[in-house]
This record gives sequence, C-alpha cells and structure tokens, in this order.
Amino acid sequence: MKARLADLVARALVPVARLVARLPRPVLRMKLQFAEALLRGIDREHPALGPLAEVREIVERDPVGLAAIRRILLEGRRGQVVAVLRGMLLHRAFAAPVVADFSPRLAKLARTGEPLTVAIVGDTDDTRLLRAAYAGVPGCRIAEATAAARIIEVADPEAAGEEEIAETLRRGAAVSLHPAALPSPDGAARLMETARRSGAALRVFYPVLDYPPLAKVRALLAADAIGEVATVRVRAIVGGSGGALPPVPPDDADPFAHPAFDHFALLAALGGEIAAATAYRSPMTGGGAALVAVRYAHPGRTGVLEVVHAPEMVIPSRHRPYDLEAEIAGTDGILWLRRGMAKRTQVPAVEVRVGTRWLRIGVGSGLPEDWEDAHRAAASGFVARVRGIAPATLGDAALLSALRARAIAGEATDRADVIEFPASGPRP
Amino acid sequence: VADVKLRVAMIGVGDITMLHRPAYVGCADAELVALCDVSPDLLARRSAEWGVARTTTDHRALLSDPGIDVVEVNTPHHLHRPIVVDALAAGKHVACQKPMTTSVADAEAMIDAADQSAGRFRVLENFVFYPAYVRAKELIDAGEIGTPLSVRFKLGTSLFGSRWVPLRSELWHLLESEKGMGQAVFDDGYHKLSLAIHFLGPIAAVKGFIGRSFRYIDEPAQLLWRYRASAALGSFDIAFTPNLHTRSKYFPADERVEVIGSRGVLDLTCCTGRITDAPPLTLVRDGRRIVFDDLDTDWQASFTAGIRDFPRAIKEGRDCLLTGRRALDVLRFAYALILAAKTGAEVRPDEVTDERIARELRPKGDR
Repeated sequence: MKARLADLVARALVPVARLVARLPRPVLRMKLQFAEALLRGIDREHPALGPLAEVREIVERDPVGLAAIRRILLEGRRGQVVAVLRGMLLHRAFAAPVVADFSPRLAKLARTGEPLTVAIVGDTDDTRLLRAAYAGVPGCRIAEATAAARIIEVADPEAAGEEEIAETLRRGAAVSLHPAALPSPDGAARLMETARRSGAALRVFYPVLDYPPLAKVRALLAADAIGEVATVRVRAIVGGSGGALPPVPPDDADPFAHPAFDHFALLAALGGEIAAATAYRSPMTGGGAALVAVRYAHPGRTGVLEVVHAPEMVIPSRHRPYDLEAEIAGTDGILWLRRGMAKRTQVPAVEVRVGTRWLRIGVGSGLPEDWEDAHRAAASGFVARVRGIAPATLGDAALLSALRARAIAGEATDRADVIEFPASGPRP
Repeated sequence: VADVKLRVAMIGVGDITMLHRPAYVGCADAELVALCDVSPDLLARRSAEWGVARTTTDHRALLSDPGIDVVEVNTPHHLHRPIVVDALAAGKHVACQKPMTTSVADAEAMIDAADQSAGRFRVLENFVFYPAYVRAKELIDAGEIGTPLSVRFKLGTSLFGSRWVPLRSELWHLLESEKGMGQAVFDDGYHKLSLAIHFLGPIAAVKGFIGRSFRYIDEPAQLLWRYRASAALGSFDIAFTPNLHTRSKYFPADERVEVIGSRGVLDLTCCTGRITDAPPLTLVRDGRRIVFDDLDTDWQASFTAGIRDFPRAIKEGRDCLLTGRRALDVLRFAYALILAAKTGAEVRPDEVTDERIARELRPKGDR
C-alpha cells in the first residue's frame, strides 16, 4: 500500500518539479520563500528547512548551481527521477518495511498432476544431485531410456546434437540442457523457437538460478526493495582445498567454460538482457583472474563478472571449493547473495541494506541454502513448469543474451573494443 | 633543525581545508602561519576560527616571504598550475590538493618546476594514509593473501547520511562531467585510482563502461584494468544509490575494497562513510576470518597522517609517498578510463594526451 502510494506521489511530483524548474529566477525565489515560511509555521525545527534554505541561496546567488539543478530535473531520465523520488518517499517519509513474498511454492505445485518419467543423460556433479532431487518429487520416476521420458536432462555433449534435441522437443518432451551440452547461441535460439512452436519446455540448466537465496533476492528485486537496479556484480572463486571434492582447475583456453565461472545467466537474472561486453583475463594456470564488464539493455545499468582461480585458498564446502557472491546496487539500497556450493565465511547468505535498514537473512529465516536445495528446487520447478503451473526461471531474451555474452567473453578479453550484440529490450 | 617547525601557508581555504587544519594542531614538524583566499569573508571566518592572524587575498605576497617554508595549494584544480609553478620557482615546498590538474601539460609543467626547484612537491591524496588501507598494504606486501590476483573498488554515493558539504559545492562538479571530469571517476575516483596504483603498481591498459544518472552524474560505471608489472586485474564498480543512508561525518559515500590473492581475501569496508557495521578490515584465509578492530576508522585520520607526512619527509630529506609523477600517473589513469568508456576501446594511460582529451571529451566550444 505504501509502495503504491509512494509510486503515485512520485509520478505526480515529476511534472510539478519540472514545471517549477522552468520558472524564472525571481518567481522561483518567491516560491521557495513561501515554502520556507509555510514549513516554519508547521514546525520551526522542520528538517526540510535547512535543505530548502540552501536551495533558495543557490537560486539567489549561484547561477551555475541553479543551472545544474534545472538541467538535472529537466534532462534526467524520467524513469530514474521517478524511482529516486519513490525511494525517498518510501524509505524516508513513509519508513516502509522491506518485504517480499517468497515461499517454496513450486515444491507444492509439483506434487500435483500425472506421473512423469525423467531421463538423465550424462554423469556430472549436477546430474547426481538432480537424480536424487527428481526421486524426491512426488509422481516422478527416473528412467534410463530417453525415448519415453517426458523430461530429459542432457549433460553429456556427445549424447545429442542440436537436431536430436529439436526432434525431442517436437515430440513434446521437455529438455533441460546443461551448459556443456549447449549448442552455439544461434543454435540455442533455434531450439527456443522449436520449443515455443511445439509447446514443449526447454531450459538451460544453471543450478544457481534455482538456488533458494537467489529466489529470495529476485523476489526482493521484483518487489522494488532496492529501487531501480544500477549495478550488478557477480564474483566467483575456484579455491584449492576445503571441499569434500577436489576442485577442477579452470582451463586457460576458455576459463568461462568452468561451471563455477559460467555465471552469465546469473548476471542476466539479476540485471536483465545484456547488450555489450568488454573483458580482461590473466592466465589461470597457477592462479589468475578474468573480468567481464557488461552493459545491460536497461538504460544506464552496468554489471561485472569477476572470476578468480586461487589455488592456495581454502574454501570450506560440502561439495567443491567454489565460492559465489553477488552484489546488486539500486537507487534505494544494496542486496548481497552469497554461498552457492561452498561456505567461505559464516556471513548470512542474503543481506539487504536499504534506506536506513540493514537486514540479514540467515539461519533464523529458515531460508534453505544448501546446494542440494538448488537442485531440489530445479527438479520440482521444472516438473511444475512441464505441468504448466510455473514459469521459466529466466526468460528467453535474457537467457539468450547471457549465452551470447558467454560465447564472446573469451574473445572480448583479447579484443581492444567493446563487443555489442543484438538485444530485444530497450537500448540506452 | 629537527626541532624547528616548518611554517605553512594555505592558498585556498575552501571546505576541504577544514580537514587539513586539524593535522597542524599539535604537529611536531609544521605549523599553520598564514591563510590566503580570494574571498575576504571566508578568509576572515577561517582566521577567527583557526586563530591564524596573517591573511591575504594575494598569494604572491606569501611566495616572496622568506618566513613561509611550505605552501598548501587548495584552490579548484584548474587553477593549480600557475600557483604551484610560482611557488616552486620561489623555492617553497608545495603540497597540492588532488586532483593535480586537468591537463597532462599542466601536470608536466608542475613536475618540471619541481625538478628545477629546491623545494619538494607532493599532491595530497589522503586514502593511501587511511589506517585500514595502510594495514592492507602491509598485509599484501607481506604475502598474507598470497599472490594478488584481483582488486575491486566499490563506490556508492548517497544523498543521505551527512550534510558536511553544502549542496553548492557538489553542483559545479556535476557540470564538469560535460568536460570529461565527472565527480565519480575523475574527482572522487582519484582516491580509488591512486589506491589502485599504490597497492599493485602502474596500470598497463583500461576498458569499461560509464553510464549517466540524472544526465550529469557519471554513475553507474564498470571500469576494468590490467597492471603493468603484476598479473592481477582491477575493477572499479560505481553504483548510483541516492536513497541508501550512508553514515558519515563527511560525505555519504560507501567505499569498499576487496583484494583477492591466491591464498586469501582482504575486505575493507570503511573510509569516508560506512553502510554496515562490518569491521574496517577483514582477512579471510585458510578457512578463518581475522578481524582487525584496532584501526582508527575516522576519515580525518587519513588527512592528519597524510598532511603530517610531508613536513616529516622534508625534514628527513626523502621523497614523500605522493610525488608529482605519481599524481600524473593517476591523472592519466582517470582520463584513460573516461576515454575508454567514451570510445568503447581499450586505452593505455601512457598514451593519453591533451589533444586526445580535447578531441574526445571536451565540447567543441571548450577545446
């Protein structure tokens, strides 16, 4: 309710502020003097009196300052001005709490409907966890043969080519393609089109997209908890020890192929369609790093993927020692997401700093945060999607932009210029 | 000589000098003896507040006075060159406030003047003296995080949490962005870029994006660089967070630094402002988190240490940490980032020239 009111007031205020900004200087000065007198009449110590007097003094004595204020108000992007005003009202005037509905709804939804057969092709960390996860979804049965399966998880790049996957989609089966088995971005786009035409579900499987703390973060973003998103940072570290399983070192030739570093879909899940990228990398052997800066299709939004191979680093993990952290900054605050398959520190998995509040969503919240929870949510979520009762975790346009960014990231580290690629959303 | 205090004159006594003056209170090596500003009102106010009797509106009167050993140049940065060059020619030691200037030619002229002068020259950038950053540098150099692989600087600017600087002082900065000298990357960013060089050495090349908020604010941005002598990579992540309350006695800026090495990670959270109660410095290594709570987190501490380092360096006959050449490196680094974002191409700081800055960044009427 408060959010809606703040939104309405902010939208109404923008044209008023722009009208005021156009007023001649003497008229503006009179209006500000009147506003000051009015506020002083209400409360001689009103907190807005100081800033108002400062603005009046600028109007009276500082033509450069006045020009700056006018240009900011008149030439600033309307959507951003509204977002900032909305946030000011919400977090300072209304002191609204930070809330976002989030519950493991999909797990319940997946329990309804006819029995499903799932085939899993390939043997990886993810398929082992998915096998256990599907077995726990009511009505799901794991089969070895793919011919009669309604859901096929494809993690083996040798198992099926693009045409075979397209044929599977055409017969109505749902396909979950793991990154190792993905065709080129153009091939993925063709498969998306085939899936759309045949009404079959197609997903590209990134377990982090179903990780419950990420779902919480995305629910907060959808509820405008931190205002208009300005920057997204995803940082991943492949450590050297501390895991129940040993790390797999990243490949120097294509570090972004490493499952712990391929987080372009996460960048897209947090910031939307990616429109351009530029990058650097150092050799990974023996320790190295790579940075990919992205510009999103959303006006004025940027992001960065930072991946580090730190072979002497201890990262405690019940799986492999791969650390993950994301930071999303918006006009009203900042969100942090941590963990994934490891637990580098005991700092909570989700933190929010917004307005004057600092929320730590950790053990007391009951939020599932084990890596197995990501696979459980991925299994039940995909079953629910196949049954037509849940949407995809990431839209095709954003996903495709992530795959394109992934495909050019290596090249971007070697090129001196920014690589732009087609996006379906608005451009800056 | 070691017991004699150097006599300091301030040229320009604007808002920033409120952080400079406390450094001279109780300073063993220097004392503030004269003030200069073009505004007689401001001069009278500072003179009364600080108890410095000698004032003038003409800086040349100070340069010809043998009773002045050191001049601090705190004017707007485009005015630094003539004052610095004249002061060095007069044999004074000169401490100039960052950014050094707005052009490579001005910077080189100041460096040349310093080379030919008996006086020493430094450009004050206080972050490298901030206690948490000083400790971090010691930890990096001691190999506590192994080989540095990546360093990340984060800046988030807010409208709430401090009213130390009046709005009028911020506004002119905004319009400077039209000339390629925005507040976030060129001006405030100077601190982070200086620290980036201080931590891991000179910069080889840069790439990145700079967005625009409210048309004139050079935020958000994602800026990347590679080092010349280290395999480490660096990034500067600037967010636009106007409604995030940022506790500060000075500017409401959220500044965080993360340095990742082959063995451990350093997290630095405080400086000008702070947004959480996290400790100022944390070292995560070998599965353990080591917290450094024994650090002065007040931003003033960096000004006090930085300002006092100059007279101490003069007395000890050593170069101070922040030479004119270092300042030119930071200036070129900043322009390289802005040029890279503007042109969409990699830029090497050592290839930044005034001609290129004028061609790519300045409006036609300003060239």
